[in-house]
Amino acid sequence: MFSRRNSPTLPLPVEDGTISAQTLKLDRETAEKSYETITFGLG
Amino acid sequence: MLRVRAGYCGGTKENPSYYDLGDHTEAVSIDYDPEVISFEGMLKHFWAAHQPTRNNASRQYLHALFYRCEAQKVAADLSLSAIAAERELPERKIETEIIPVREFTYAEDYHQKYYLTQYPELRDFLTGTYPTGKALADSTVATRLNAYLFSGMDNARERLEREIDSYDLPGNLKTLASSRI
Repeated sequence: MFSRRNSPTLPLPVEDGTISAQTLKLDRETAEKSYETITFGLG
Repeated sequence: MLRVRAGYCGGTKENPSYYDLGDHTEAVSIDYDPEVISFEGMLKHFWAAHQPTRNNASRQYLHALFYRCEAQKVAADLSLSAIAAERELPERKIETEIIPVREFTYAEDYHQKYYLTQYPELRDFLTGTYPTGKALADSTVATRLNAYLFSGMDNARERLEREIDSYDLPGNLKTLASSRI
C-alpha cells in the first residue's frame, strides 16, 4: 500500500475553509476564532 | 499566527504536487487574527522579508503576493507603490508580482512543519494526533512549536511558557520543548 508521500496520483488537499485540527485544546480555541488569510511566495 | 501552511498556488494546473508543479508557485498561507494585526501590517512583514527589486525567472520560486479578494488586491497594490516611493524607484522596478491565489493546494505532508522533523518525539506526537497532512498543517500547536523552536524570535520562550499548557503535550514532551528554546 502506498502512502500519499509515495503516490503522486493521489490529489493533495486544497483550502476549503474547514479547520481539521481540533483535538488539542489550543487548536479547538483557535478554530473558533475569526481569522483572515494572507498568501505569499518568498522565492 | 493562528495557522501556517506550505502549498502551491497562483497557477492553473489541476492537482499540482512538488514533482509536478506546472505553473504554480511555492507559497505559504497564513491565518492570522485581525484583532491583533491587520492585512496591511502583514504586508509590511512580507515586504521586509524579501528583496523586491529582484525576482526569480522560475515560477516555482517567485516573490509574489497572492490576493484573495479585491480589497486585498487594492491593499497590495498600494503597498507596492509605497515600497517603490520609499526606495525612490519607479514602480516597474519592483519585480514582486501581485497575482490572484486561485486555488491553494496544500504541499505534501513532509513539507509541513518541516523544522519539527528535528524533534521526532514531538513530530510523532503531532502526526499521531493529526494523521492527515491537512490536519497537521492546520494545527496552531504545530505551527507555534515549529516557530518557537526554530525562528529565533526574541520572546519565543515567554510565549511558549505562557501557552504550553494548552498544547496538551505529554509531560516529557512539554519538558523537551521548554528545554530546547
